[in-house]
Amino acid sequence: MSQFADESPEDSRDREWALVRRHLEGDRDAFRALYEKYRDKVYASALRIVGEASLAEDLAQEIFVKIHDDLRGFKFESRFSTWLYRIAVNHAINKANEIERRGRIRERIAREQPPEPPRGPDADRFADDRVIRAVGELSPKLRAIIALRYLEGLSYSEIAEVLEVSIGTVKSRLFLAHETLRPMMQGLSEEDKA
Amino acid sequence: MKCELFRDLLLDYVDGALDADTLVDYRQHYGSCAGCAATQKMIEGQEGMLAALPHPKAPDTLWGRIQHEIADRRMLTSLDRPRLRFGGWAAAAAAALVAVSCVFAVGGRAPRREDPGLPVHVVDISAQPGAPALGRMVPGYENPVPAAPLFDTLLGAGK
Repeated sequence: MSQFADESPEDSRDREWALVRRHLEGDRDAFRALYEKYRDKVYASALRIVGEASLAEDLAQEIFVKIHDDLRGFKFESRFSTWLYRIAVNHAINKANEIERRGRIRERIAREQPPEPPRGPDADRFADDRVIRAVGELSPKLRAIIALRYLEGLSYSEIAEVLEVSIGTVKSRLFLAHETLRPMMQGLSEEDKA
Repeated sequence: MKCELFRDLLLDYVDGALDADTLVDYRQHYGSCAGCAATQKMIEGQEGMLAALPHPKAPDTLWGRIQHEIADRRMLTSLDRPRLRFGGWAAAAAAALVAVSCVFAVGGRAPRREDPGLPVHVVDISAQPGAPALGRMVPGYENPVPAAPLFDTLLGAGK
């Protein structure tokens, strides 16, 4: 059974490698196919890390242009997705650090007064907003690890490969992220309400 | 099991990655330590909320922006290339000019090292073949016959 489970990622890797090769041979549709597969993932991760839609769109554009330019250096040693996430996350962290330095995110969060908790169907969206705001309070590195784990659904070893750190570092950063979120997300989860 | 080890194993437990023996020890600690049990609940609760967050979609305008950026870069690259080529030729031409100037400068200066004792090869210069000589030039030092200094030679030729 695990054999079949292992085959699928291999097939996926080979399909993506084939697309990269076609792109390098001048087939413009190949890059479009790679873009279509990862557009939402790259945009969503960028949004989680920089915290603002217009910035995330700029960032996603920069990331895909960089990927387009750098594909000639792709070594066919790792999965394309790992390589792509590495470029995307590093670029997003750098951008978020730059924004942090200018104090934009914290100022924006401080300006936003927490609204009154709504009742009824808007209650879920309100909880989501609070969670997103809490994630926005983390450092860019911790935001990146939250995005890779809970948005992209990567395993600890995949995250370690993307970030080029050990699995132990991934776990300790993730644990730190949860501990930092603890006071900000207090009372939101079912476990807290129980 | 101590609290520190429990916390090290917590994420693996939530991930379902603990082996059977470790799982027994882990659960035993969970049942006896309220602090670690609260931490596990906190992480499980957060995981549920984080995983349930909406996955934002990339705007439809994104592909167009990427295409424009790539096209702009291609155009800039193609404009840069001829400039580089021209720049390369200009540099080569300038280097050649400097080299030639040096050769001429050295070549022209050599006869001025006026030493009446040196053997100098002197050539008559005239406007037309057969016309009276207007002067003399000194291209080298091969002539075994001693000659007058260049300055004197040129002045004397007009007389």
